[in-house]
Amino acid sequence: MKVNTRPCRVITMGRRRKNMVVNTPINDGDNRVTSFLVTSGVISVVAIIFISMASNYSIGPEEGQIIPNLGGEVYESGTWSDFDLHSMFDRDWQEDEEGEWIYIQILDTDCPYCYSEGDDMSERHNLYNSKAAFLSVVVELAIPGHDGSESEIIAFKDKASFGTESDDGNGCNSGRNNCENRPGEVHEWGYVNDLDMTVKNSWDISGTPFNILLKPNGEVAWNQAAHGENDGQNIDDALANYLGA
Amino acid sequence: MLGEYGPLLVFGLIILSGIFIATPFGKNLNLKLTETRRVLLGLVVVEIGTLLTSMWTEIIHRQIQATGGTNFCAAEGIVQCGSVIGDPKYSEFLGFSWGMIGMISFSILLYLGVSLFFGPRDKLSKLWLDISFFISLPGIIGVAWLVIVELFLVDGAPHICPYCTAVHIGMISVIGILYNLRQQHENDVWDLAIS
Repeated sequence: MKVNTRPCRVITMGRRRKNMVVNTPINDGDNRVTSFLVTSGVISVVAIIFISMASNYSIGPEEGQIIPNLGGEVYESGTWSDFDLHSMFDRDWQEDEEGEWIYIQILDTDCPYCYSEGDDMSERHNLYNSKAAFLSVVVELAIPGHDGSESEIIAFKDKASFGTESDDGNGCNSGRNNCENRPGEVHEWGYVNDLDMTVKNSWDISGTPFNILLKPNGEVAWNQAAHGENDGQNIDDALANYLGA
Repeated sequence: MLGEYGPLLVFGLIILSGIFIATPFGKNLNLKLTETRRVLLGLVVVEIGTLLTSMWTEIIHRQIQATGGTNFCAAEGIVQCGSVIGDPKYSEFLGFSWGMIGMISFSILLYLGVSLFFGPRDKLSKLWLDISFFISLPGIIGVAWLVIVELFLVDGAPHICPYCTAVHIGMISVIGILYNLRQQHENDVWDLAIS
């Protein structure tokens, strides 16, 4: 601590001919209150400008909000390519117009429920692929045995051979199964690599499989977190409700 | 007339004013302040300008997320914001947009800066100064990373986002000013009153 604690005295600055007073430190509560008030004032002004300019843009995973963007790479038709979720949106879409909805399932290739839901996803795709774009976002939950990889994503989607049928940690379903035996057909839609779990925070994902249905303009129409235990509605009810059985 | 760059001009002028006040050029203003408080005033002005610019980048970020475009900054060309602030991968860090990180960081730095300005002789002043300096240091890494992102990583790179650049200049200036203030403390010339 280099704060000067010497008593006040005068130092002569020869060349500049100025006298400088060395100051003693004080405990000044008034200054702290003043500082707090001034800073609060400035931040309030910033907050008012921000709210007035940004309030029209409600971004978030809740129903009625525009889903936060997701980037990265998507595996589709045998190749990986750059992905930008927001580029799929039709920003000019209006309610009651025709348009392509977006059904997103967030999954972990080692999650047993996601593994067994492979069949349900195939059925949903057969029912609704003409009305909605399907998208699977692959995350990696922080659970022992859940080690995802690009190879496992490819194998899960394409039902390709990856791992063994013995519970040795190799393959899908926490390493219990060879990915080629996943229930359902080969999934003919894009799989986004989100193993770094970007969506977990920005989309408030609590577990997998997690389902979200977007309107063509990117607005969240149905979010699993808002239903289930609340009203008993599941994703199949939502798809039937919004896209027609 | 200034259109999308009007706010940039205002925020940029605030930041440059702060830098001017904090540097030796600021002595020409003949402010009735000690040397230390003059530099602290410059620090506070730079922090206000950078806070406002961070807020503006956050507004642009939200507008791009919600509508796919922005009328607050160019979306095409080398000098533009759309590809940088709207990038789906690099515009956020740990789920927080860089604009929001800037707003939070500069709000904290502003409070500490204002506290130092009003109470340079307070017993806690050295502590505030050290906290300010050390929480601003990671800003160097952040600025370096975002410059790399702008020049090499975003779609269609290189791009230069003018609002982001203003924040970067503000961030580096704040670190430089805080370093200078710490030197004053080290050299026992902190807030010497001229009689």
